[in-house]
Amino acid sequence: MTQSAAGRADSERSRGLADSKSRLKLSTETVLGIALMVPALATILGLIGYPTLYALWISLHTKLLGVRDMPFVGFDNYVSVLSEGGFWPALGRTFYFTIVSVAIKVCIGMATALVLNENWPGRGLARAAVLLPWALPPLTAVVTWRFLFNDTTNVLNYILVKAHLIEKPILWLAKAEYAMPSAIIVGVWQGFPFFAITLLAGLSPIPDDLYDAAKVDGAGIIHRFIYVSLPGVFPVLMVALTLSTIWTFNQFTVIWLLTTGGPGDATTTLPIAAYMQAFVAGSKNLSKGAVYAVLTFPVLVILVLLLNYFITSREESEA
Amino acid sequence: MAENVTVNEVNDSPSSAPKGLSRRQFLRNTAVVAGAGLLAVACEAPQTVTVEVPAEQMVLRMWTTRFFNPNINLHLNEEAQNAGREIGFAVDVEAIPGGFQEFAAKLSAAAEGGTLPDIFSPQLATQTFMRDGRMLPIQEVWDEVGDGLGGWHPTAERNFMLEGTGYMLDIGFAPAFMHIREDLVKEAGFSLPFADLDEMVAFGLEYTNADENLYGLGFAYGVSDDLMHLQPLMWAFGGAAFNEEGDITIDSPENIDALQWYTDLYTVHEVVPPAAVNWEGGGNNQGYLTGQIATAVNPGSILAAVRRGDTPIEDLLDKTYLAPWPQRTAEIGPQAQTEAGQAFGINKESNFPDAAQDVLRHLWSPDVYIKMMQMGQSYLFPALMGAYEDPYFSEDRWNRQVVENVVPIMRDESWPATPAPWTSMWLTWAGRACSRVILDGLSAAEAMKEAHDIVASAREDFLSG
Amino acid sequence: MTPGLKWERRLKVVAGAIWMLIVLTCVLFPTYWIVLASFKHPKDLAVRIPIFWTNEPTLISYRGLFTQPFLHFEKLTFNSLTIAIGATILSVVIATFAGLALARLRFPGRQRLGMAVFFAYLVPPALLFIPLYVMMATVKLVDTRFGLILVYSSFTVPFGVWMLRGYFQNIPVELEECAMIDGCTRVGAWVRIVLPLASPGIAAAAIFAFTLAWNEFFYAYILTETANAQTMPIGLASFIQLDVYRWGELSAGALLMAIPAVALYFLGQRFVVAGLTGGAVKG
Repeated sequence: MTQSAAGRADSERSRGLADSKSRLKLSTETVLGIALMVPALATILGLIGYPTLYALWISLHTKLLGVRDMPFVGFDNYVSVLSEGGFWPALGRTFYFTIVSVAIKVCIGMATALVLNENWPGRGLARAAVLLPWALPPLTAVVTWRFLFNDTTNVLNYILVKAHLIEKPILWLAKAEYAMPSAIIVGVWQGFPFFAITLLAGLSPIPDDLYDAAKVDGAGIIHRFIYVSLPGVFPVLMVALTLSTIWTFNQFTVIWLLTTGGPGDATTTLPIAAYMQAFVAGSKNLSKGAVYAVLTFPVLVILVLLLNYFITSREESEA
Repeated sequence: MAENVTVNEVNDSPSSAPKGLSRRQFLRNTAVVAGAGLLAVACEAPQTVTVEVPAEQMVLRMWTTRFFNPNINLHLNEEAQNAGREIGFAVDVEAIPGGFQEFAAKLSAAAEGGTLPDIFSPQLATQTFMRDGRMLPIQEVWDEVGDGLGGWHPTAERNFMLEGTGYMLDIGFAPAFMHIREDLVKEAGFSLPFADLDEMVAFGLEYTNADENLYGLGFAYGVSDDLMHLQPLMWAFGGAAFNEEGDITIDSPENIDALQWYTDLYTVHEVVPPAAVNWEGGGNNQGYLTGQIATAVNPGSILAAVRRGDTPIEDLLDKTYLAPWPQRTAEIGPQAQTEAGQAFGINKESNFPDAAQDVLRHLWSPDVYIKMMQMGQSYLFPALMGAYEDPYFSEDRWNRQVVENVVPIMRDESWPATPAPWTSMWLTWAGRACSRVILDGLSAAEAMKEAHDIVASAREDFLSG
Repeated sequence: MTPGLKWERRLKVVAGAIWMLIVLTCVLFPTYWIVLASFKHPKDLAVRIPIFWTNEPTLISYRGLFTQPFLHFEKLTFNSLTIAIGATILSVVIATFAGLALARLRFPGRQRLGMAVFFAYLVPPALLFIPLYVMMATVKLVDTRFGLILVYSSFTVPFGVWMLRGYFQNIPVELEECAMIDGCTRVGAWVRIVLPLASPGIAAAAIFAFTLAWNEFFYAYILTETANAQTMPIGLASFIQLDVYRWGELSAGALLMAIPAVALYFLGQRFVVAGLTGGAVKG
């Protein structure tokens, strides 16, 4: 999966080594390999595999909070979740949240990385400061932002009104059309430093000669970015993109602590919906919660596979 | 001993490291920290009992919520220990943090894992737990406690008895009452109590000044409604969520009128803060304490904060008047709502049912119980009628306002139906009906129909299971 | 230098300066706000006109953290450290083994196992907690630090394996072959050559594991009951008391909690970058 390009090239070599060895002591290698895999496999099968099966099993029954009996209902829960009307909007919101957040994180992260890659006094300090939001625990970050967004204490609105950036206070968390952007703001605030720092690491080894050569060829600043910087950071960008997509898609803490999915359903993404179904809504139906969670998995897998397909085809077209 | 050393090492090494740390130094430090941690894990992991008792002593486990006022927890803890001492038990009382929803997740995990404590409050799942045979019937204790302190309030009997048998002891009610800024009402030329709902709205219109972020009425419209707002209004309009036979009547014309009237305050009269549609639980608390709103309906936590002085407004306590929702018509009269859910029962699978009952007897004995009510700082009002004679309730100006005007008329959300698992589920959907009208432009009738259908399907889930 | 390039250069400097100013303001202001809130008096927190400075800083909120009944903040701090370090060691060791096997050894099912590990990382956490609780209850690990260490490994192991496998693949096999020609065993070559070279990747895996375990709230809430095993985020949650938000204590606690994570990232950020990019890029 999504290894960097360099990683793939080297894995070819390691396979070559493995081939030459395999003729001599195949069995030892197999035994050693499996022995080394055992702890990881035990962890994954025991702590992820088994619970997943258990959740699948619950999703085929009707399991209510506190009720011992759980009658088998087959795929009824899936049918009702898919037809009830809550699932598809939540899926749409999850995509909206993920795509917009990740896109903004990439843009801000890239711009910041480009500036940090230049030589200027105080660069080290700035770089450390930029890292701050990512290092802060999400709980800390959300508590702070709720304080800033709050309509009573009014910090953010006060500043924006005083600075004449807005005329009237904005209801950050209470208006359906602002709640999702507010959640995205907090998500981006926490997530963009990850891009800034990884992309900066990808930019810094690009030799100055390449830029100079492009300059001599008459390339402007935009062309230099497209033809020199971008290809240079591409492998790094793709790894960061994949990880950030997974993290954003499964984001629960930030949204739950910020809006609990509200107002109405405006910020109810799939992870929030799964939790609501199981513990908040109606009959506290654990089975329906499990259905939401089960349905989330293939969506994320498809998303990551698509991303990976895009990365691979792009790399091949460049090669 | 070893523990302390480890903590110091762990705290010092990463943060006190010099600035330009080399990779080697970093890794060495990391290794030191890691080693110390491993040591700590190895030494510590097997010890799981914190209560300082001889290893042989039997332990009763009890879960309580973490009240906003920690003194209630301290008192409960201390008295539970005292009760245990008399019968040779250690009582391990855990004050669980988090909201109702997080608690529901924890409760359901513990129920599945078979690790429910001996004594606990199932909160939102109370009816389910009683009916599913998870709670031990404790009629004898119920009667003894009732006899000791003037009998149970009818609301406690409705909610925690099943078919004539007592299952759980109510720790007290958290009635929601309206906090009203008497000074502002007078300045605007009105007097208290409001004659009816219309007069309250007239005050709201008079006082509200949106440019200054000042609002006459501070009512909640989203998930944080918790039935404190819409439910009493439905009663005031002559409706109810259920009828006496237990049928769901959420979409009745009276209820639709109530929702229409209530959402008009937001959409037409604009006398409530716009953010009230997605206030977290503390939105109205904060609004009242900062002076943003002149009225707020809430159980006693706002009053407690006012008493504590957590507000920039001078003498806010003296400026505060407590009342139920005003009446709509004289025939129906004012209405009040109680927050349910704080009643303690015994796990049917407990190994020590007798000891657990002794602990409950002690906690609900007159002296201990009355002191608990005092610790509640107007958040808890007695479920046992005799406790109202205590000077704390009969003499304090604000408590008297609640005892005289709110407690006699308060009801639970199931009223007039017999409480059932799905009747308490209605709680989530009242606030949602409000936000559906305000945010999604549904008509009041459509929103109530939606809530009706959801509660009906929840009932279906329970009856079919 | 041509006039065009000069003009372009100036524009670049100005635009860069403005951009950095905006970014730094957005980053630093919320941080400043939480620091300020933790030193304010409670009555200055619930106000309608925000107060941007305090002339009378107070430690009330910090004191509140340590005097709150039932909270045992110092014990929770110790638990958080133990659990985060324990989960880090456990998952790094397991992930190093598996990463080496997947990157360096040829055995049947290797590719598929690699895929399976990655996909295990995509399983939504919301799916797992009730079954995990039941398992932990069965083996009597509820409310123990060790139980939480195990559970956190379920997130950190797949990520660590994925990351370290990539890192090991990027270390030239020739180095290992040379060592083996010189008489080292395969494992000996790994220990002497590969692992030291992979140390940035291992450090990165460790940093990720540590912060995940350090910050995690939901599993810790479900799986703990007492100060035996509760972590700092659970302690913080107890300052949201039903509908009462104790902003002062919340800010103070959140700030204290942030210190180790922030320190770790500042010291280890270059390893993080190197680890994520499979060593292709040095941070």
